[in-house]
Amino acid sequence: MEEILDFLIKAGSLKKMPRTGFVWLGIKEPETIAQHSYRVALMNWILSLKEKKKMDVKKVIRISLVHDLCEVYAGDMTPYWGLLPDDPKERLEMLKHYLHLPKALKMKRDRVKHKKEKKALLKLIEGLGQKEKKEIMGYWMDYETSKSREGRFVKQGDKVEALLQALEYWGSTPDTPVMGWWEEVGAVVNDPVLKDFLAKLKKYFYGKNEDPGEINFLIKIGRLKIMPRSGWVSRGVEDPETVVEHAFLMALAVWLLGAKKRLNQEKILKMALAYEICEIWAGGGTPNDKLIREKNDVLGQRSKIFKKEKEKLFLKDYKKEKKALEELTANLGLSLKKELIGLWDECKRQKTFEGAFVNQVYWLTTYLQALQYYKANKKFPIWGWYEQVRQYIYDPLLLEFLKIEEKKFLSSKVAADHDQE
Amino acid sequence: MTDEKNFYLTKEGLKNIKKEYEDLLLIKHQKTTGEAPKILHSEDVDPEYLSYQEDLIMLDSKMLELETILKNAKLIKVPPKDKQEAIDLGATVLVDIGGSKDEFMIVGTLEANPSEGKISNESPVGRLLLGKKVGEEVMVSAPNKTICKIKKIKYSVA
Repeated sequence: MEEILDFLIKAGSLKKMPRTGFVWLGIKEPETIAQHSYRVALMNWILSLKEKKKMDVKKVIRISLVHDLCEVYAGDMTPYWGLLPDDPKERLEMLKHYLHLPKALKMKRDRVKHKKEKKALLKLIEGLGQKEKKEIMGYWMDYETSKSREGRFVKQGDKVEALLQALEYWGSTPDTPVMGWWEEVGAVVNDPVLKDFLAKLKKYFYGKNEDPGEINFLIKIGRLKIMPRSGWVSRGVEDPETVVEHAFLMALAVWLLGAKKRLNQEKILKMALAYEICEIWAGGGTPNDKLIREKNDVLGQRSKIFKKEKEKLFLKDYKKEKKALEELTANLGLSLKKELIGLWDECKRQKTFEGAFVNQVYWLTTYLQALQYYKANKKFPIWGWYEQVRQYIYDPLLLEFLKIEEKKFLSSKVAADHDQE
Repeated sequence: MTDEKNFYLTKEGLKNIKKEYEDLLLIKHQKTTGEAPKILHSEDVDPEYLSYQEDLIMLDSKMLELETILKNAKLIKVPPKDKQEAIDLGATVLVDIGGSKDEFMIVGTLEANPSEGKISNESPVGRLLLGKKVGEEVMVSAPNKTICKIKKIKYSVA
């Protein structure tokens, strides 16, 4: 499983890679590739449910998660690569419009981009097992070539999410670069569900907002893109991981580790995407942070916590998060709302095998980030986490993964202790 | 979805699983006695039919999972008085960890939820504590040399 850990660490670098288009356009601290990939996955999932002919949601989510993975090594190559003038004013002017190129030239450029990205993806996944490699490459190729209905849907959904982000940055202000994205979706989106969503977006941002539905929901999810996880903030981490960035990595971990278990694979993926969305109103942080805050104790130190008190705090936290979810999903269809709350509930209360598994992966991936912060700064209070995961993780496969994480990041002495455990 | 192994459950946990199974039986009965959607709707397969079939598959799979649990369930019982001095499943344990107190109940994996103070007997801390008595110590964090001293053990599982 070392290879899965290495893959996750490399994929995690997307949490620090800003999207090139928004950098060029002067957006301060623009979204990262991980943030974008997360919302592409969530948006495509919920919009794909509207398709008349049922789609394979697991496939939609997986294609969405992998569609930009190659950027770990290839960087974010926008359609404008190699064409932008040096002069900032000229560049901005060019970026205000979708790039229309002669077909032959466009095809040639696409081939170059595809070759470079494929090579980069192969490099990223080279250490993984044959099955995982084949799966990831297969899904990415599906996206690239729009081979399946799901691949086509994700390819178009990717552009729609980018437009939504552009609208969030510039709103309906005329003569802004957002027009370039409108032109792009106009050229590439032909799926009826996505076209309908685009029409709603137009109404929402430029006219009467008659049916907020999933737009309101997705805009609120957009806020989670930039919401730092409070557990890192309270521990003084500079430029901390955001809620959505964690969820992106957790979904990849759930996919790769979950494949080794007899679990409902679609359900665990959905759970990973849905578990943390309540943070938009519930305040973020881990249950332990909440306990620590309640107890007004020193960070990283244990508090005197009795079982009854834990139950009470859990219930309080549970109610708060459930209420947040109910508000967040208020404008979604009843069955989707029920599904999202149900997935969160199973995971939060560890009610099912899937819920218990995803809950533990939540801790594993949080701990992985903590270990990375510790590696960068030895003052980071890692030992509280070290003790905590020993209570929170009990699945044999995940305990094995925990050992591998610690062997990689902690001293050789800790690794030796593991061998004695 | 589950391997054949023993599932340790408290009386309440077992009751909840039985109830969940009965609820699913009822749902299945309702789903299968009503009119099922037709497979073909014009030339395409009716999405409602697919959704119906998928629901049934999910339902069956969940019911099979619960049947396996019920078949292999072992009820956590309060140990006899002379064995209550040692930590076993169902024990609520008060410990001193590195100078501060913590309390949790040791449960089977199906009922674990550490945020609620219920830790699994298969977690590293759970495994370390099983069989230990009041006054004994275990090392919960070797690199940090954190010692966990057992202060109190009580059983309240009915």
